[in-house]
Amino acid sequence: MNEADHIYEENMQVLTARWPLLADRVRGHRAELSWEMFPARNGQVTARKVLEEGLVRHIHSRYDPEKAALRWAGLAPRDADTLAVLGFGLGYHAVAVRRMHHDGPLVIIEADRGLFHLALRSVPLTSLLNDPRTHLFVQESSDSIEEFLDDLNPGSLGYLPYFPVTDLYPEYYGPVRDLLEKRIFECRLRDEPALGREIGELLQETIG
Amino acid sequence: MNILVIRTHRLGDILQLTPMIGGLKRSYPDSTIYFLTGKDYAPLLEGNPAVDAIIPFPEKEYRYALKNEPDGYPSLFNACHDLIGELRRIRFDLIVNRQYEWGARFASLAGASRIAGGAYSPERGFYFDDQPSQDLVDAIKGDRKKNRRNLVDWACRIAGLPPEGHTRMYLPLGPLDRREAQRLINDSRSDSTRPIVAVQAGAARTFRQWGADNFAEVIDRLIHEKGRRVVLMGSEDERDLFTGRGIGIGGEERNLINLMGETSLKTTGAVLERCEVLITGDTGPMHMAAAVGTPVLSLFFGTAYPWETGPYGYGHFILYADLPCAPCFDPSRCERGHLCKGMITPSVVMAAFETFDAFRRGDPVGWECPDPSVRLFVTSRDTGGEQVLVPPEQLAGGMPERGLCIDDGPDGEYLPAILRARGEEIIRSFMEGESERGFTDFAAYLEEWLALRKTAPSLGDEGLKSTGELINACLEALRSRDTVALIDAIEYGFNPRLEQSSHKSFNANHL
Repeated sequence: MNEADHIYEENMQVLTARWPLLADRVRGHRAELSWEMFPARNGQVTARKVLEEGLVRHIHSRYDPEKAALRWAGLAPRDADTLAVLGFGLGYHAVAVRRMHHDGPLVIIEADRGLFHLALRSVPLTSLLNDPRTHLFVQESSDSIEEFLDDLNPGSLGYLPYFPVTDLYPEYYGPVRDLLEKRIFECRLRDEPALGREIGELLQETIG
Repeated sequence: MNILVIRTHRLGDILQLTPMIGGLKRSYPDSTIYFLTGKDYAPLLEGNPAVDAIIPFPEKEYRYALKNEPDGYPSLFNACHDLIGELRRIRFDLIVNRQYEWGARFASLAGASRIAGGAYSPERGFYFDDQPSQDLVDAIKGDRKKNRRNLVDWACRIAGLPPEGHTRMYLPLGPLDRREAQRLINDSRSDSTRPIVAVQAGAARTFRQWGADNFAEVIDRLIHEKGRRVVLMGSEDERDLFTGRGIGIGGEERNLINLMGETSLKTTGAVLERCEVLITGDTGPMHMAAAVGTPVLSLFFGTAYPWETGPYGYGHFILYADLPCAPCFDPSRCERGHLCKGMITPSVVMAAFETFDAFRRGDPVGWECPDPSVRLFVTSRDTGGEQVLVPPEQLAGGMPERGLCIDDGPDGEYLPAILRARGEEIIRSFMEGESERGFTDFAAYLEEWLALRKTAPSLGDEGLKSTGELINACLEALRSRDTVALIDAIEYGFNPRLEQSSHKSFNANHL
């Protein structure tokens, strides 16, 4: 068994235990041929997507994906009990978010099941997937994410968009982002009505 | 001590606060000064040694979105909430708010120990706690002609600064801005032995415009009677201002350099810095010129009041149509057909220019205008250090060459530090989802590197080759809109070169 197979088997084992339906779907799913995987300078796996006319877009650093991920994780809102990561890619930044500072539920949302399959083949993700605070939505509709948030009823909510991935699937992440913004808005109005009123007036004045 | 200054729009109004910021830094040397400003105006403050952090606010985008994208309201609300949270975390000891109403709400929500300038509470509405702010409002609402204090000095009073003689306004320029200005002027085929006069004909508000025909006549006479080159400044929107005015726009007049729509904020400042004078109305570029130490010959009609908003500093000239009805409160409804604008003719402006020219040479000067209501003033300081307007003969003896330059700031800033900061700014844009801005800034950043590739001796032959390859790879990444590759290029391609060059003689002198 080569290293990629080994990583894949370990990741799949955890995935099957926690999300058997998703594991089935992922197992039978192959990534689009437009995805290319290759080693970054530091030896970790990175990926790029080949677009039309041979143009390419990388989704993680070609030099040090883990170091770049730490930088992204630093942008995550710190005061949110529940944090959503939009765009999983190969997952480096989600791992970094969990490791750096987030103690509450981590909701991972990925638009491309094939890309998720590649992540499982490339990056050791067992500790992230095994963590009971991790929730995974791969190619799921906004409605199912909304249902989940209804059940979770988070005290406060924030999200980290990982633009190198979300920019590739704007039609998927746009509505998800709108949904999250709306939920955050509602949480804030509920928890801080006086401040909410003042911000509302401020915005009204901005129009005026 | 943490201090926040608030002013989000109008470039002149932001620059008018720079003496106050410098004063705050001198009074509280250990303080950290933040400036909350509109995103588009952040470059005005970048590099200002008195400003420790700029908090950019996308006010223009918000206004647009609020009016046109009602579904996006939750996002805007959340963004404001995030900003307020960030301001509260900083814990400000003092907020100086120079933007009433909207700024007052922000100032109050930020929760400072003390607010100077406009504040707000649901119980009191909008209010001022400091006497200078109240005095300023009273002065403007009452008999405005009694006010003889410039808004720059008012701002210093509001901030509680001692009357120590505030320094001039300040717009920081770097070697890259200056080189771009030089390139724009050199690209023209103008006679480089002639001094350059800048002309800003447009104005944001139509009632403040003097008229393209008037400016065209002045431009023509400056070139043909006074032996000057003229550089036309203006925004993209003003490009067509002189179409059909017969002053050689389009290339037939070699001593007319048309830069309308060609310059960024900082490049505008750098072009103005190279000019002997700017001729304009009460405009943003008027304040920019003053802020880079270039004298101004400004035209004030009844629509603006030079004691309040005139160019700040020593030795600026102001032509003022001093009618009994001036300054008018509602210029859009003038019952006299803007008589004041007709009083200042091109010949009057040329006479003022001659007076200015004589004044600079130290020759005796005086001012006589066929219409005695048209007055000419020079800016100076009273014994307390605040700005006053005096007739030019009272200041006979001229002024030192570029005498306004009191504190020129870090203009000799080390080039690698500037490029490194620009790279960081680009990375931040990409990571915050401001891709378009990031791509635009990256293209400009690449241009700098292209120029350096040709001229920086410290990189050596091998370095030149690999830098060229890196630049080509970046052009490809720009085409793909590959933000990750561009971030990598900055972190692992350009920054190491800056590191390498910091040990060698790679600085502005090589530009």
